[in-house]
Amino acid sequence: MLALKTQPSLKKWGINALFICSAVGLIVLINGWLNETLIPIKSLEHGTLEEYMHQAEIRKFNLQGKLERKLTMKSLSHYQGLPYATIIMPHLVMHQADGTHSELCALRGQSYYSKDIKHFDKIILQDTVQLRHASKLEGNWQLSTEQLTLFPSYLIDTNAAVTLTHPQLHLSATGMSGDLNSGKIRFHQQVKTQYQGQL
Amino acid sequence: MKRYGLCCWLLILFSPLSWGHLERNAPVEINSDYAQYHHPTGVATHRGQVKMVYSTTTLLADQLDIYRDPAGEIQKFLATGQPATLESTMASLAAALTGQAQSIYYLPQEGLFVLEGQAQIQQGADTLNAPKITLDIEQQAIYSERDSTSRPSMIMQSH
Repeated sequence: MLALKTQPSLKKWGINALFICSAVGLIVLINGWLNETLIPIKSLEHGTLEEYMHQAEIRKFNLQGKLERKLTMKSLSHYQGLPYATIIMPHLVMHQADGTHSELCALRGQSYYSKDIKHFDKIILQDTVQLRHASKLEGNWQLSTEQLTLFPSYLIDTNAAVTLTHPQLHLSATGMSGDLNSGKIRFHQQVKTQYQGQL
Repeated sequence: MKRYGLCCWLLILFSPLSWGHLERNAPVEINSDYAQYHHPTGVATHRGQVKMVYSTTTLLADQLDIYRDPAGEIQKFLATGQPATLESTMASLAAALTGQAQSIYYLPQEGLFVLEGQAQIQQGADTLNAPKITLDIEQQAIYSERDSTSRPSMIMQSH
């Protein structure tokens, strides 16, 4: 009789325990996935996240099939009602016709794009923005600022302080604009340049 | 000078006007209101209240263009203004040497400062006017040239 009375109780406990373990496991799995994909839990609770991409890479090739541009990012997330998507660690590599290449990267950015997501209007890069150009002939140079706007056709613009470093040159200025296709850069105000080494 | 089809007048003036040594390894510092760099040509242009300081020599100009060779080495600094001015306060000079011209260019590989267009240099009470004046850092010499309309003139005060 005892066995008959305790059997359903054990079975019930077993089912409950299994359910609890499954629930805990599911929570751990979801939490782990959320942490891994960097989606703020709060945004999911409020249901504001509309689009999300993780470890995205976009490549553009020229007519000869050679790689021209490559944009990578750790993540891109778009929240409902916002006109921009937030990009984490954007990194743009531009290959030039002369064999050199330039890189533009930042810790984060905001991409304002068209509704069909085929074109972007502008990308505002923020926090440790760096534009690097590698050339065996001229040496490498690097331009640093805290905020930079990248437009389609690769025009760049900033009102922030910028510094440009090169093995033989150090330049600081306030404000800059440029065309990454033509390689023309203009520094707007308070330009201080120092050329070093034997002239 | 060949452009004008005239012979060149060479005045090597060791005294009383004198030039001296520049610290060739000294950095060149340039301040300006704004600047532009064109990567394919390697030309950098500074505009607006341009001040270039190289060792003990200071250049003031409205615009300064910097030209590079394909290897990235600087070939020429070209300062233009109304006028562009130059001042050298080297310790070896008895008095500061000042100069002015419509354009002043510095050729670092040759070690020459060239003043062109209503050029004038002055040291103390001594003055040299010429269409073109060249200051040779290595040779510590000053050369002047004439053109089709004017020739060098010099005023030396007795000491």
